[in-house]
Amino acid sequence: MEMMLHGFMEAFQFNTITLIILGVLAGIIIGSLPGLTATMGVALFLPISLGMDAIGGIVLLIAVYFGSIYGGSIAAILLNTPGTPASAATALDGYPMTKAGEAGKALAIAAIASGAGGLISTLMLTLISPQLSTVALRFSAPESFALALFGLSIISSISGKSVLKGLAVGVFGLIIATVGMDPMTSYPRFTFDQPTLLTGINFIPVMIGLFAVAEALIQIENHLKVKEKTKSITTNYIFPKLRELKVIWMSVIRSSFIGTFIGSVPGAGADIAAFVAYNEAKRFSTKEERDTFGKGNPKGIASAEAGNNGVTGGAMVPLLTLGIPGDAVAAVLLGALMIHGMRPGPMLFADNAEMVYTLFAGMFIAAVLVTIFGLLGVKLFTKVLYVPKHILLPTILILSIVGAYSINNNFFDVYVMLIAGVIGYFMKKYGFPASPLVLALILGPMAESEMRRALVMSEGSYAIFFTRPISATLIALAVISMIAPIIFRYIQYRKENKAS
Amino acid sequence: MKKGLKTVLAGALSSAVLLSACGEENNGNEVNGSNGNNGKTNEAANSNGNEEVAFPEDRIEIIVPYAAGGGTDAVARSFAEVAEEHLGENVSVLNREGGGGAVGMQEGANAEPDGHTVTMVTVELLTLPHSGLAQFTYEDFTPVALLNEDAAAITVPADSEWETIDDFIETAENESGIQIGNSGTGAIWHLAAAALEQEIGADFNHVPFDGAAPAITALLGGHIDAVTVSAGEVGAQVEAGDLRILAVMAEDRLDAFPDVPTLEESGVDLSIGTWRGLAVPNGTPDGVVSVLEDAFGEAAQEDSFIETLDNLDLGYRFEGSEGFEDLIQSQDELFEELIPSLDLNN
Amino acid sequence: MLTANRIIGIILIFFSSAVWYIASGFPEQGGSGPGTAFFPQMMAVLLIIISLGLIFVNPVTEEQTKFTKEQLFQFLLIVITLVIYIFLIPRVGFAVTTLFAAFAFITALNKANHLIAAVTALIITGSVYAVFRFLFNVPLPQGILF
Repeated sequence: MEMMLHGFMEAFQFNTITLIILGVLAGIIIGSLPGLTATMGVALFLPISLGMDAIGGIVLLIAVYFGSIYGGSIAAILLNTPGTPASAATALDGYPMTKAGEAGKALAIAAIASGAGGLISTLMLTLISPQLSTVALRFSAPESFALALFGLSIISSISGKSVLKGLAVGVFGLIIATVGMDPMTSYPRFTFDQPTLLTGINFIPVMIGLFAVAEALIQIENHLKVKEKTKSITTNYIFPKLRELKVIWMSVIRSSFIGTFIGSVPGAGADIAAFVAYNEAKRFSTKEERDTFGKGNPKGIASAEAGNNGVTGGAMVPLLTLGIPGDAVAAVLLGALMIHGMRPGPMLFADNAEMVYTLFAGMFIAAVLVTIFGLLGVKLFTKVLYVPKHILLPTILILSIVGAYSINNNFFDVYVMLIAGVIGYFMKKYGFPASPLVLALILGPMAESEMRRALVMSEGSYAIFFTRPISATLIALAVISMIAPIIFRYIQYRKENKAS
Repeated sequence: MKKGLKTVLAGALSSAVLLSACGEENNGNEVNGSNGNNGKTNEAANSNGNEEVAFPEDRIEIIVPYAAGGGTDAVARSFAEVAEEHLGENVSVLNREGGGGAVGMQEGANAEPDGHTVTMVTVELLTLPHSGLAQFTYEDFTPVALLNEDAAAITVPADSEWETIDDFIETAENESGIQIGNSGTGAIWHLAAAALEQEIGADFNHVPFDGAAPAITALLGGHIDAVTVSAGEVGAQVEAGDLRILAVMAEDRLDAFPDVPTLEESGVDLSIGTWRGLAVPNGTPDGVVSVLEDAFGEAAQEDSFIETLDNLDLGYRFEGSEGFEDLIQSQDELFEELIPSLDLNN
Repeated sequence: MLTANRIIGIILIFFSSAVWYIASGFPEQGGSGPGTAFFPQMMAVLLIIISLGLIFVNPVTEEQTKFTKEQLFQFLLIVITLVIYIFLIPRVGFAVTTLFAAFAFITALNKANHLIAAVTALIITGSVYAVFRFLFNVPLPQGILF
């Protein structure tokens, strides 16, 4: 406790707090631009942080991390173009709210949920990281496979009108995910001798194409069709009422826990957490309410945002306690810590306790700042909606191209994005949902490689998935969450037929 | 407080440096082509009495075939910083990831052989071509400087029954199916385990992971029996007493772990590991190579660079053009024999 | 009746068959467990089953989205413009191509004053360039111009 207090004193020093503010602001901008993910944001600031002292440098990177995870939700809500994969789930309900003229409320809820997610997960990191890391260590290949399967099972609940179409998109995505070197044998699959295909099709350009480019193409078409100026979406800045916040607080807390836990599992990150949290919020809702998910339910935004921001604290658990990066952002942070002469791992708390608690304090402050900036920015962000379409749409297209290019500095990704954009356009036209494809590209490689790794470990016996308690439980949950929505829908369908 | 202000200033300054580096990029390559001899003469070349070459005329770009924020990237970035002073030009880092390093190294091999594009090559320069995953060979490059080398280390959990490397070898010779985690099939740590397997006539169950970190996680969780990754990668866990290194696959004991024996001490003649160095495309004029070699040689001996490697738990080893070439050739012979025998080639 | 769902279903069946065929040429895995081809082939089979569903399940109630010739023409025009734009970026340089592309899109979408369109294009290009180039230090491609 005393250490924590000391940490806050350090973090509130003028220069440190300045760095946190700058980091969060920069992170929000980075996150809101398509293609610039949290990982890239942190990597971009790494060289700058190296010129600072250890505390300043690390706190800056953490602030960028927090800001960019939240920033992704802004474009997702306002323009249906998630800035990062983690906010693809936010778009599911965020964009419908914008279309209904509730952009201000949606953004405010996202800001509050994001801050809460960050706070709760940092709190858990501070209090129970040793326990969390013990659980995380029990995750090996079979458990990770089961988690991936559980994630994939969500496809059936985010499919919108037609589960069949959602499944088609999901399985198509799983096939696309196998392009590249086989994770187990390194054999190049479906690469047609193209070296750029060896590492597979990057899901970020695909996501930019499916969401941003496809949306822009559709809107350009509508704009040309209507001829007269398309009516701009009206929005009024209404702060959500306390009554409305009461409705979402359970979802926020549940999602924050889910996010923290998924973040602490090595190999699973914010994108997965957001979808899982979204799905759980839907599952825990009343029957009537369940149908409003995907049509602008504030709980959808709250759960997705609390879930992906919850990962921030969770991802630090294996990094700080075991010295192992759980995801890509943590890997960059690991490098940053080590360059500053700190070695994350079991000894960190003993050797650099002061530093660790300053880091925790910085995380708390960053989480609070996310909410503050998010709420202050609502008015500013919604201005985007008043930008005339003939300026906004070309800008989105240009940003998409630059974003796709800047991931790996190559044009192959830009063409992938364009192709995804064309496919996405037809998918929108014919009622095929885009989210299952993103989910499949994120989880497909994980599901396949973990399953095969588990089977290598068990020397071919499938029993390994069912004899281990965590794995068996998750697989059972996956089957339930896959089939339940289909059964519900079938019952509803029968009822409707009877009635008519 | 004063110190704080300095940090902010340092941050602002370093971003200013980055920005100015960007500004110069705008001049592009054409400048080199059109007025080739107008560039400034390098001081390093003069002081070493080499024939005068007009190099460098422009900023130097280091292609890193791996992602920003990774180990190879960290080595390149910290080296670029010190090399700038010795070259008298900006040195920038360009990440070109893909194909397990194949994309970036291919681009480096195809670059204009004028010394302005330097590639960070790693052991994958040798392993990728032999696995049929790359079109280039090491002969497409002229090595300039070796910066780092890390040997494979056989590491087990602290509560493992194997106390010494001899215990391990004894079990391996008698039982099959010891689960050895590696960082990916065909990756260097898999090759290290496979080479050991051949050398002592064992039958391991190789479990490939997506990188070294998840393999170490699985080892900590007790899901596999051992890993063969670099000593640095398990350093933190060894220090904390969670893991134990049985032996390193190097010619000499490591400075960081003086108590850990080498495999050779147990009669197994095997040294294998990863390394990182800088190379230019084949066909670069000798004068240019020697300017680079001199400048890189001085830069590599800067304390700040050596300290960065140390902080990153990376082994420091410097070799000039010739020594680097020797290392590459001898390792290439090893992989040429080893990789086809593993049946990775399809 | 050849509905949209049926066409998509048929395309997906062809796609899955190709996946199955190519995957059948993958080598066997040395160790234990399913090999390289297992996952893609399993997914191909699954996709064929789902596609059959798309073809045969209630095609009557399916909403038909009309796709006129004019729409197709417009759509192709935009996509081709984008392809040319992307193709030219590394050859001519990001700033110049983006300036022209932005101008073209703005005038196509809004037949207003050309001067205003040009100024807007300049502002868009300038701010994107500045943000990526200088704020985030992302090297943007430069061709013969800049």
